[in-house]
Amino acid sequence: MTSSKSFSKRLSMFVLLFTSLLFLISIFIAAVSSHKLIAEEATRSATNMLDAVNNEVQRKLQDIESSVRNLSWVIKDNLDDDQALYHLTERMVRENADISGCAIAFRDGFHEGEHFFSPYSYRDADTEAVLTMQLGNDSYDYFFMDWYLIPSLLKKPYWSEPYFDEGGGQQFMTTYSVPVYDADDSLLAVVTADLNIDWLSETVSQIKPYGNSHMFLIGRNGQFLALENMDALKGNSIYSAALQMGNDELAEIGRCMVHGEKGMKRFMDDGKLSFAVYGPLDNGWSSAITCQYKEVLERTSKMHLILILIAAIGLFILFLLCYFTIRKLTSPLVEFSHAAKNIAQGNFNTRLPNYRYDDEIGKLRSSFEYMQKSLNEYIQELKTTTSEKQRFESELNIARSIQMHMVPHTFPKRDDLDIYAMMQPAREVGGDLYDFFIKDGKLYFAVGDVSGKGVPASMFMAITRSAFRFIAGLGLPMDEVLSKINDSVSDGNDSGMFVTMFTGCLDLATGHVEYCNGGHNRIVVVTPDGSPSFLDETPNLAIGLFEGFPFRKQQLELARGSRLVLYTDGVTEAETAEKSQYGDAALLDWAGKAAGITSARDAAEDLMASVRTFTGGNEQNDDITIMIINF
Amino acid sequence: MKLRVLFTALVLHTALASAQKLTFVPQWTPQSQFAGFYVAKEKGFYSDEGIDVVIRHVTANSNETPMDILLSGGAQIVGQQLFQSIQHRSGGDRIVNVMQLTHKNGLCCVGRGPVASFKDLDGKRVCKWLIGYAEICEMLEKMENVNIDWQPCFSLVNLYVSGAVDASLCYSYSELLQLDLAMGGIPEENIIRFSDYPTLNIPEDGLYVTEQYYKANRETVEKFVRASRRGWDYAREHIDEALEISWKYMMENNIVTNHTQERRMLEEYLSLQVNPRTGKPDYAPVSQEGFKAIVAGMLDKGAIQNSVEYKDFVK
Repeated sequence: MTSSKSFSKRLSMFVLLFTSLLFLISIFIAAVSSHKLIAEEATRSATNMLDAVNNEVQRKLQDIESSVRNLSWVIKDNLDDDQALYHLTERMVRENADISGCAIAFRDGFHEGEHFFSPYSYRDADTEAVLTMQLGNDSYDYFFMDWYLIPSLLKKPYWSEPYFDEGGGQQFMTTYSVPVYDADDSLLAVVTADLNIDWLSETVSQIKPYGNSHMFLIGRNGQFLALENMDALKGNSIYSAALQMGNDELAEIGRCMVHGEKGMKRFMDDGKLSFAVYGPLDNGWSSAITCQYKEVLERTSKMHLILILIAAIGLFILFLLCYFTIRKLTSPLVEFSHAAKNIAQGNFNTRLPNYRYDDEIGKLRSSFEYMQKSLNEYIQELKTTTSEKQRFESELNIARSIQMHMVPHTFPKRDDLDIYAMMQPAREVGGDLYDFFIKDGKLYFAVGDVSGKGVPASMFMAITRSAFRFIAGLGLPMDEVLSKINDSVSDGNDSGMFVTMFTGCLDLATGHVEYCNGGHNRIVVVTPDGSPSFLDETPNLAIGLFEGFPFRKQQLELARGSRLVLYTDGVTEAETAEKSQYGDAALLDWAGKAAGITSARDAAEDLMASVRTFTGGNEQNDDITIMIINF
Repeated sequence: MKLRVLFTALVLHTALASAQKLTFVPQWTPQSQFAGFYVAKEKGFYSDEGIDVVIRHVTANSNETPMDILLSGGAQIVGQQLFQSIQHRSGGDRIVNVMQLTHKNGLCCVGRGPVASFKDLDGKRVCKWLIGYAEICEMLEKMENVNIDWQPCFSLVNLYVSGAVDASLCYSYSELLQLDLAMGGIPEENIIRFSDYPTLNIPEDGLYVTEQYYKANRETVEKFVRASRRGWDYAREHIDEALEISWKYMMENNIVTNHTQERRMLEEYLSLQVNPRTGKPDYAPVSQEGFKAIVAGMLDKGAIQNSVEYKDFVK
């Protein structure tokens, strides 16, 4: 199936497709590279932000740690003065805005007979006033509270896990505790400072590298400490949130954070591919910033979109440019096509379109021009040849007519003789001949076959026939007739042509036959009883080969009712398509069967029909001549 | 007509007056471990029985136990573990078990590393709850012939996470889940389950009233038990709704928790209600033979000094 699209359209489409493909590959590579770079830059940027916030938080925590450590040193100088200890806690809260409560929780029995002793000051959430009290009683056994027990057991300062302070104004708190030891290294007290960490959520909620970015802090137990929407996740650990969301990647991030690792991991945030950078704080907490890749790459994606749009417009313009340019460039081809069609229709002088460049189309035009010229010459030549051929054919027809008129067409109607002859040349003119005439009660007859075919053979046949009629008419014996004919045609026979010829003279009164065979096929004699046989003949050379050749004659006595069948080799050598020849046997067979056909004409036509039946319509390859003489 | 109106008003008045008020104290602060009771209250199952139940909780940082509240008259019915309750009864507190909630012991010991048996904890510091459990810990030490440094505390989870202890006692439906969520997973090889030790696999939660109250208000107690069972059956069939109802109680009491933890707790707790004999959940009391074995074990290990009779204790 061929496309009906024009060459210019197809070429333009190909250029467009190829260019688009190249462009898409380029855009893809550029997009992947730029996305990678931007994602890396975003990760770096988020990590820097994270470090900055961690540093800020740590600075604040360190301030509190320093204050508590200082207090832990100071109390040792005031162990004898309970009021001073109360005062120290009160001053600690009053002078540190970030500290919402401070306690010096002494060991059991610090005051003899007393289980609890713990001066404690705190800032009232409503009035902001700093209030002081004794902490610890039967319903608040601080010895088993995290802030006391854990640093005591660990023997080192400890930031408690965040807790919700029910009594202190519904705040999210953490407590920094420092164990203090006496001279014999026994635990003396645990000094604490409470830190309201609600501000942490405010701080982290301001960290938003992108619209849907989040920063959060978790404690050592994975619990959220600070988050933009803390209320929604209060009481949740990163694992519980991850489990609730069915997000294993988030749980893995939480695991890394709890183990104090620093790094970056990808995960799905609300169905969107995101990354989280995370890093630990000195106190065991960990913070993270999450960013959605879609937002990170939004600007680049927009830029790529614009680029694709510009490219699409550019490609469209390129297509139009290609299309019209190619159409213009190839328009002569269309004109050439029309011209070729005109030439094909016989208008050989059709004007070719003008083209002034010597490029491929210019060369095509030259070729066209050459072709047109050649065609013109060829047609002219063809016309001449055709004309000559027609003339030649006409002349051949005339020659055929002449040749056919050279042999007798009128057959005598006599009681003592029935003779008929027919000649069928293979071409317009043939090289066979036959002749007969009656003179002085004798029938002179001849059948010949000139070597070759066509015009030269017909000319040779005409000469031979004229010679026979003239020489035989002299009443000479048959051997002399052939000798004279031979001498006559041999003289000046430069073409090397020859003719086989059978001549005879039948005395119509007696049936005596004198004959001479010059290299011709043996004739068939059918006796009155219908028995056919080839005539016994003395061989002679064909006529025209050797001047002065001594031909020898023979004689035969024919009984009344006999038949002579003369023919040329066109009969016996008639071929089928399979190259099988009619042959002598078939001829004899026919002669036997045709003995009952009394008319010479009918017998001749029957033999011709027999030959044609045998060849089965195969083209006649030699002249055929048949002569039947019924005596 | 006037007579009929007067009669109706009298019946209504009598019905209202007979809606007996009852205070119930579960073992701990609000959590989905008590979902069945919250459901019974919120779905009106207690009202359907004609009792007016008030659910009161202990506070996390208090030394006061539900049994203390029961014995001081602050509540008429409390939730308590079988082990501690037998101890109370053995010590002379005339309390009776009116309903058994679980058939399996949920106590575990979680090490910071792999622990194959209690012997791996010999000489190690293990935290336990501040109140109670002293006797079961002693019983465990005697049984396994180990000496564990038990560290009482309020928050097992924080102590464990801080690294201040080598292991922690915990419940499979509570602290174990919290630790799992805090640590991002606890390997099973770090856990020793009490239920794997026949002597320690003592069924846990049950409902207790004083013998005196039971005798005087048997019908009321039975109404409470019936409604509570209905509440638990409903909770088992409607876990989401039960969690939603429980969540309300937790928020009202400013409990800091999360949905994942509470769902896992309820699911684990419901699994402890499956009777190992039938493979189905029920509230069948401890069998007489089982009870005798528990008491004998406790006597043998010194957890109690006086025997407790099944017929006196289980109602």
